[in-house]
Formats: sequence, C-alpha cells, structure tokens
Amino acid sequence: MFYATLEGLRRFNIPHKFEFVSIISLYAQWIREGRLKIDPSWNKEGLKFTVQDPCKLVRQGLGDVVAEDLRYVVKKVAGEENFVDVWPRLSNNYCCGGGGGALQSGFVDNRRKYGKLKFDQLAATGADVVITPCHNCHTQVLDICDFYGGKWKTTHLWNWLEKALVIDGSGQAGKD
Amino acid sequence: MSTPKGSVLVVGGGIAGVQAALDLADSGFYVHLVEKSAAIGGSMSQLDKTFPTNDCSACILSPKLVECGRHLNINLLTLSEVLSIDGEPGSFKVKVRQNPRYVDVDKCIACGNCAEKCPKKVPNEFDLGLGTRKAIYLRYPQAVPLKYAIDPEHCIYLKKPGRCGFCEKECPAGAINFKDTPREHDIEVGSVILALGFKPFDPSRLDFTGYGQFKNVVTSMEFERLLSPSGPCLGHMERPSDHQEPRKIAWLQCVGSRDINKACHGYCSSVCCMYAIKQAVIAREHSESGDVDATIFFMDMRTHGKGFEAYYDRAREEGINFHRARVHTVLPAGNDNLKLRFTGEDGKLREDEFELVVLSVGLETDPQVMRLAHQLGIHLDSDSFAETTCFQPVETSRKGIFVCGALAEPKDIPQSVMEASAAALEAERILYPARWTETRKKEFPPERDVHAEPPRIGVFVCSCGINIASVVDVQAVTDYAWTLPGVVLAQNNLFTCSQDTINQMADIIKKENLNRVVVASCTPRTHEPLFQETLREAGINKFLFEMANIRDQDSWVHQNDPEAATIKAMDLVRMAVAKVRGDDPLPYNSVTVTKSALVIGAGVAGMTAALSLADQGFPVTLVERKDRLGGHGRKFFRTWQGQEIQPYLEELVDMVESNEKIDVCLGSTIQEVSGSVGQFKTRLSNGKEIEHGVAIVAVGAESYKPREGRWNFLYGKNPAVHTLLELDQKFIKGEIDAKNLNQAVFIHCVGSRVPERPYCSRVCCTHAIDQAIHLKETNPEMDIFMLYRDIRTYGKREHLYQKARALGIIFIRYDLDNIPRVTEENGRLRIEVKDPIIDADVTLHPDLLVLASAVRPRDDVGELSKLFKCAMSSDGFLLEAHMKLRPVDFATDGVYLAGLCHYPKPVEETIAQAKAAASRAGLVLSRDAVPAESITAVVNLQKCTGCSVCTKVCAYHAVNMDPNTGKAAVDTGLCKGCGACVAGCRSDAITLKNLGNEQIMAAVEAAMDDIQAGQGL
Repeated sequence: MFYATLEGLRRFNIPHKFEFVSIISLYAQWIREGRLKIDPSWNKEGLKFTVQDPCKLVRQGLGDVVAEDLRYVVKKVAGEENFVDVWPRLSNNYCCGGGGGALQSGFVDNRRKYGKLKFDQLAATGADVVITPCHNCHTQVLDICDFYGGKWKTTHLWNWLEKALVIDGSGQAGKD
Repeated sequence: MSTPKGSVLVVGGGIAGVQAALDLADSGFYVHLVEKSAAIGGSMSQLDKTFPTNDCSACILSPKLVECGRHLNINLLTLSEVLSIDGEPGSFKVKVRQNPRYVDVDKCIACGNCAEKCPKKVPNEFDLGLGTRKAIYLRYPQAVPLKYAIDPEHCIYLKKPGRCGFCEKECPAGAINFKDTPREHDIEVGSVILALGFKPFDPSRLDFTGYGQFKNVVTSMEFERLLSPSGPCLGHMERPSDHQEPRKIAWLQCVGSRDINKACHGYCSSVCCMYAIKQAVIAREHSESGDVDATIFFMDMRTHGKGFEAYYDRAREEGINFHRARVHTVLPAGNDNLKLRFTGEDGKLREDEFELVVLSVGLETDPQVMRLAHQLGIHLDSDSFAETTCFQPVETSRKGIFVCGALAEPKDIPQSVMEASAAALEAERILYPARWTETRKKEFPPERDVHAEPPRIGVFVCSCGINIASVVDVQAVTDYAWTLPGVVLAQNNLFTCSQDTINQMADIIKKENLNRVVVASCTPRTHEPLFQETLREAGINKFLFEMANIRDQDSWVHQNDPEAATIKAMDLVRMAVAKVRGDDPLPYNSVTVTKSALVIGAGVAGMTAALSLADQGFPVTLVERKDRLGGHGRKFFRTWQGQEIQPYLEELVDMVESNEKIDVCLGSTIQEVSGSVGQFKTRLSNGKEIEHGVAIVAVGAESYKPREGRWNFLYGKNPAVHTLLELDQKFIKGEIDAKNLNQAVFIHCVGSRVPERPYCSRVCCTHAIDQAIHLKETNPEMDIFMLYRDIRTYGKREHLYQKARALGIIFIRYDLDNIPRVTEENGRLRIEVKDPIIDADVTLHPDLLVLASAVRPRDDVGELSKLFKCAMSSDGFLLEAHMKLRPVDFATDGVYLAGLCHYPKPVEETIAQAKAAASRAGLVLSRDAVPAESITAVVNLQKCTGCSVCTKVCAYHAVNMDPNTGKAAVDTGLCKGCGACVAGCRSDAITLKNLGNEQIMAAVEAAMDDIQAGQGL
C-alpha cells in the first residue's frame, strides 16, 4: 500500500499533499526529542541485533534516511554495542527474495535458493535478532532462517521497543 | 580597442597552465601564473608513470616546472586565488589574493631543518592522506618553487602564539615569518587562460564500493601514490591494511563516470581505461614477488588515443585479465581481503577474492572551481565543465577568457598540453600588437677574454641540504678539490642553487678572477642552465663550466657506503676539473629568422593554422595538392554537438582566400626542402621557391574503403552499403530518404583494431551513433542496429550513446571470432550476427548498411616526412617529438604537425591542434633570431681526405662537401652536436667543440689517476 501509493503518485506525476513517513522515522524523531524514553538496560544477556533494509521501504521508497533511522532506533533499544550491521547495507542491501509475489506464487525451492544469499549475509553477522520492518521480508527471513537452520529470532521493531520503553510519566505527549 | 596589454593571466599551475604560460612567455608576453597550492605541478606531479610510454611523470614534468619557476617573464603566484576579473579582451583588471606562506621565499634554502624539527604531523594531502607531513612542508620533493610553507590550519605557533616556534629557531636562513599576512594584487592583463583542472571523484558516496569502509579499497589516485617512489611507501607497493605487497589486485572501471544514478555523472572520463591498464602493468613491474594477478573489470575498454590500443594488446599478452562486467558489490572477506561478485559474459554469477581493490575514479570539476566560474561569468555545461563549441574548442562563454585542460572536459595529458598551446594562441591573437612590450630581457655584461689566462678554476661543492652531505663527506671533497691542479678556490655550500649562493658565486668569480668553474652537485639535467647563467652574469663564457654529478649518480645510489661514495665524489670532481681545464669559450650561435610560415595541406587543420599565424601578421604560404581548399572536411555532415560543418568550412575558406597575408598554392606539392629552423628553403612542384622560418604539416589522412577481404561486407557491390563519409555526403545533399527506410545497420571497427591496422580510429563510434540518431529522429519507426566491439564515446560524447539507447537504437556486440556475416538475397542484404546477451544468432535485413571504416594514413606521407626529417610511427602516422608533452612538435626544430596526419581525431581536436601548432610556430616567428647549438663539429682541413662519410652519417644534413676545397664543411646552423660525424670520420679530422680528444681524454685520464692522493687526506 505504502510503496504502491508513493510510486503511483511519483510515476504519474499526480499532484498531492501527502507526506510519506515511516513509523520508524517517527520513533527516531520521538526518541531524539525525548518524547519516547528508551533504556537498553533490559538487554542483560547482550542479545546481538541486526536489520534488514526492505527494498520497497529503502531503496525504492524513502531512501537511506529511513534505513539510518532504523539503525538509530535499534541501537537505542538494544544498546549501541549490541548492534551488528550487515554488508552491503542501506540502499545497497540485498533483497530478501520474498517480494514480488514470490512468497505467494508457489515456487518455494526457487525462492529459498534466492534467499540463500540473504541467509548467508545475516548468518555472517552472528546476530540473535533480525529486525525486519516489512511483513514480506519478515515472512521470508523467518522461513529461510528455519529452512537453512539459522539461530536468530526474526521480529518487527515494536516488540523490542516495548521492552526498552521507560514509562515514568515524564515523557510529554501531544506537544504538537 | 586601444593598444592591448602585453600580459596574460593563467589560472592553475598544472601541466596545462604551465604549458600555456611557457608558450606565452617565450613568444613575447608577460605571464602571471596563479596557483592555489604552495607549488605548481598539479595532478600530473602526483602520478607515478604516464601512459602509453611509461615515462616517469615527475621526470618529464620537472624540467617544465623548473623552466616556469626560473622564467624571467613568468610571475609565479602560489597560494593564490583569483577574486574577480573586470574589463574586456585586451584590458582586464584582475584581483588576486595571495595567502601567507609564513616563509620568506627569497631566504628559504629548502634545507628541511624546519620540517625535521616541527612536532606537528598532519595527513599529507599530496599523498591523499595515505602518509603524513609536518605543519611546515614542501608539497613534494621536486616542488617549484622549492620553498617550504607553513600550514596555518595545523601550525601550533599560529594557533597559539608563544607556543612551539621550533622552525623559527632551527631555520639557518632566518626565513620563517609568523607575521606574514594575506596580500591582494591588482593585475592588469590583456587576456585570461583558465586551466583549473579537475578533482578525482570521491567514491565514498558510492557505498557499494566499500570505499571508506574497507581499508584495502583505494582510489586510482591513491594507488598512484602507493606506486610512486615519492609516495608513502617509497615505491614499494603496499596495501593499506597490513603493509604487505598485494598479490591479487582488481581495478573497477567507471567509478563516478558513466553513472547517472548515484554518481550523477553521465559523461565518460576518457582516461581511466588507459590509466588502469598502466597501473596494472606498472604494479606487476613494481612487484617484488613478480607475480601480481591483475584484473580489470570494465564495461567498454576505451583505448582510443595514439598508441593506446597497442598498449592494451600488450597488456593482454602479458597476462593482465580483462573482465567485461560492472561489479555491483564489494564484500569483505577474511584477512582484510575483498570479495567481488559480478556477472560473467555467460550471464552466470561469479565471485572472486582480491587482496586490493582499486577504484578507477572519474574526473569531475571541483565545487570551488564551479563557484569561481560562476563569479567570473563563465558558463559551465550540465556536467559542470566549461562550455565550449567544436569550432571554438578553447573559448569560454566570456570573450577574451580561454580554457584548456580537464576544466573543459575530462582528457589526457597530451590533449591538455595541445589545448594549452591553443589557448595561448588565442590570447596571442588578441594581444599580438603588444608583443614584447611588457617582457623583461636578461642583460649580460660583456665577456672577459680568457684565452691568454692560465686556468683559474673555482670548485663549488654542494651539500644539497642533507641529500649529499648525509652520505658524502663534502668537507673532505672540498679540501681535496683545493689540491687539484689549476684550482684556486674551493668551497662548500649548503644549497649551491639558492639565490644568495648564486649571487655570492658571481661575486667570487669576479673577485678571484676565476676563468673556469666546476659545481659538484645534483644533476646538469635541471641545474646546468642556472649555473651557466651565473657565469655569464659574472662576465665569463658559459661553456667554461663543468658539473660533477655527486647526488643523482653518487649520494643517492651509494647511500649504504659513505666512504666509497666520498671517494667517488672526489673522482668525479677530479674528472670535471681535468675536463674544464681544456674547455674553450664557445660562440653563442644563432640563426636569423625568416618571419613567415609554410603550411602544407589546406584542410580544416591547415587553414586554421594558416589563419592563426596570418592574423598575427606573419605571412603564410598555404600549399594544397588538390585544386581547392577544404580537404577532408568537405565530406562531413555535422559535429557531435550538432553544428553543421559545411557552412563553417565555407566561412573558413572565405577567410583564407580573402586574407592578404596568406598565399594559397593549389595543385602543388613539396619537392625539396633545405635549411633548418628559422631559415628553411622549399621548392614546390610548380617551381616556386619559398623561404620560411617554420613549417606546419597538416596533410590529413583518408578513409579506408574495404573493397575486398573480410571487412568488405558487400561494399562496392550492393548499393545499400555505405561508409560513414558516404552517408554524410548523402545527408549534406539531402539524398537520404529516411522516412522510407525500415531498417539500418551500422558495423563498427571496419578495418580498425585488427592485426593489419591495430589502432583505434577514435572518431567512428561517435560519428556512427550521431548518424544513427539523425536517422532515428527523422524516422522514429526505423529499426537501427549498431554492431560494435567496444563503444568509445569518450568524454561528453557519452551523452550521445545514452541518447541513442533511449531512442531505442539496439546495440549488439561482436568480437573478432564472430564477425557479422553479410550476404545478399535477391538484391536484399541479409546480416547474421551473434548477440552475446541472448546468446543466439540474429538475422537482420537492412535497407541501409553503414560501415564505420578506419581512418588510415596517406601513403605519400612517408616522402614528406623524409623531406622534413620527421619521424613516423609504425601505423604510418607522423610521430611527434614526445607523445605526452610535445604533441604538436616534431623532433626537428621548427616543424610542427596538426590534424589527421598525426592520428584520427574529430574536428574540435583538429582545430585545437592546429591552433597549438600555430602557437608553437609563433615561438620561432616572434623572434628575430633563434639560438643554435654552440657545441658543434669542426673539420680539421689538414686531416680531411674528402671521403664524405660524414655527410652520409649526419642525420641533420649539416655536413656537406665544399666544392671549392673538396673537403667537409659543417653548417653550424644545422649541426646539433650529436657527434655522429666525429665517430664516423676515418681520418680523425672532425671533433666536437669542448668534447674533443683533448677534453675527453683529460677526464678519462683523471679518472684513472691514483686516488691515493685523495684518500690520504
């Protein structure tokens, strides 16, 4: 929906007043402004985190800015030292191999073979958690992890944000 | 316009700016040369070797820089920038700000003590941050001016006065001036030349390259420094991560070029293919292990310049790997190595691991330069290069301001040098009435006659800072020199070449009545003229001088054996003293200049050159073998920028015909040539005898017509088959009905890049693509196929290639194993070709087939080259004096070349080269006399038997038999002092002045003398 609308407006030069913002950038903004208070001390085990840069969100969508915001939030949530980046990264990251209908169309072997590159890349980070801010990437990364015997947990961002959130009433909502 | 100013501002001290400055200053104009860094030399000074000759860059550049630095009529303004330019052609007012150096250039002797003591280390920008320098520094070891500068960004004292200040305490010359301030200069000039160069593309914005992420990914400029003996690893090739020699290196082409996505640069940078091949070749040479695996990943190999294709062929034979692939990702691998993932030619994904990755970064305009251009009102094009046109290749959008070098478009050194001379010519064209009005002339006192005097030899032994003194015991050498016969004075100097020592030397010569001088120092190559000039200033003949090379040939090569080096220095001094004892004063020969030119060939090149000289008032004889002016240009439709050539050519012809200084001789050829620079005599086929001071050869070339053989493709047999020029002529005459054509096919490289004609014809890719675009735009329904080997639309021409693809023109690559097969079916053409992308044969049925056939040299060019004693390359084109730095001169003085007879080139380059040739010819024509060799051969008539062997061996036709005496006679105007006749003479009758048996044997005997005398000291 998000990408389809964005690209449709762009490609056909349709005048509009929409602003396209990812929730990730809002998290980042709120953390920077101090409106979301985050404390990584929950991560006592030192769980290592890495990220997936979804094609539609980053390379084809909003660009490197949102991917940098994603890293910013993950570092805040998990602790700076617990973040391990992938290579290649940002707009140049690999496609997960699950998009474009691949997850739904039935060519399972081909999809998994394609996803091997992504699996190897993620496995090389040694991360315990892979954050995938896209439902498609999520399903694919979950599947290849399972299929190729990966050890990580595949999740969205908010699961962990919730763990790190400090609720002491000092964060002010509704400034704007 | 009132009388113009006789001076010119040149902005930018790279090779282009330096060449323009030298051309102008040597032909009667005063030059202000503005350079923003602390030393001139530009990007070329950072290079290790140069293609295609593998010359050491610093070695060929240094003499030009030294000349520039010492030139009486060049005002070098380093650390300076132009603030504004007001006025109009002939009279500009320029404001220049000169930033403080904090070192007095008149006092600094470049001993290096300051930098040794300076506690502040900073990244060295000359090495692109790979090494460090001090806060007080020399930009590079051969810097001109050879003066230190303080970097105010990093100097501890300047940041916090009162602290540090070591350099001031250490400087033996008292040259440090912390109170130095910026100065503004108001300069009046008649014209301006911008030679602001380029900046290597910064790949850190292309994240997939891993640059800035992985230590062993470097740019090509960084790799030049890693290879360079003056670089951070002193020429021992090391990779940054572990300082080990890389054994497997990859080059990635087109980083920051031909990339409209992330790099935003649609143009081709023209030079990267060649420099990558050069780096691969040199890396293998430098390698201590000797087995470097070198791979170049490229899209199209663009080796389109003179000698380039042969260089590429040789590299492949030597085992350098070439992969046609654009690597999309650089991945980290173990041991700081890098993994590259790319698609092979078979379409399969591949991986390979390398120890070092070099990014062949493109050229772009520095943002600071963009701002300056904007301030000066100079239009830049969409690629941010200075806007020029094909017919005015060195003119900017502002009248009276000219451009040369990479600022106008990415280009290599010879092309930049050519344009520099062309830009100088354009300035001269405006300012010629003011020639010699603002220049200064060196005046020397009359020379003392020393014939009757016994030798009084002075020996000056140089420490060269620590260059010599750290190895050679210079005091012992000085003491030893005192003991040699004829020596009346010997002294040691820290820097013999520093201004104060030079002045002192002149005083000593006068005071001590010296009549011979020996300097034991660096090398005559750079410093002999300086010392010889000092002798003249002191009133003695400059040939009473010898130099003992105790640095380059002694202290530098025997660093590990100081004792032996000291003895060798004594030997060299003893030999020099022995030789100088027998030296005689020699005359300063010169030849009076006949101030007119002969231009051979009346095509675009010849006519442009003729007009360029005639406009400055020099009479020109323009000789053309055909019966009309225009040459090859008559056959062209339009330039790659879309300007029609025929109207331009008509205008050029009119201008030549109506110019009363130009004498046109149609239907004539050259029969006989005699004389030399300044005084040539030429007889034409129509019987006319012409006296001229210079000659410009612009005889053009011809297009290859594949009448038979494997490149025939039914040319001459089927009416639908054309060469590029034949199609152009149809365009000119409107004989092509594109609307009724269904399909057109172009075949590239017809007769180029093949064993029988191994060079690339440079112009055909662009020409063919432009024609295809013209057809496609006239009839968008037409299918057009280009069958090519590599597309070589270098520089901004790349935009045409992009446009052609966007228009739907289809490009199919072929190679020599799969040459397209052209047959006929009922009069209709049928072409079969294998498309490597779909891996299948494609059959085409064009109703127009165009052959992009080679440009080939004319067969009769060999005879002409013999008449003027010019060289030819193995391809049959004429050979310039030096491929890199003298692109329009012949080795024969006073003869120049331009246009297609040099190498295939498009009209804009032909025009630039013709103007460059005119500029170089102007160096001679602007003078009343040109210096000739003083060290010439002399014949001893008593011994000469008149056998005439000498006349046969002389390459310069300088020795002839005198019909009256029957003996040999030397024409001193022609003699170059090469000594061939001396060696050839069977009767020992010829000697070279000051290089006769007397002097040489004295030096040889001195070399054999027992050194004990020296050792006993």
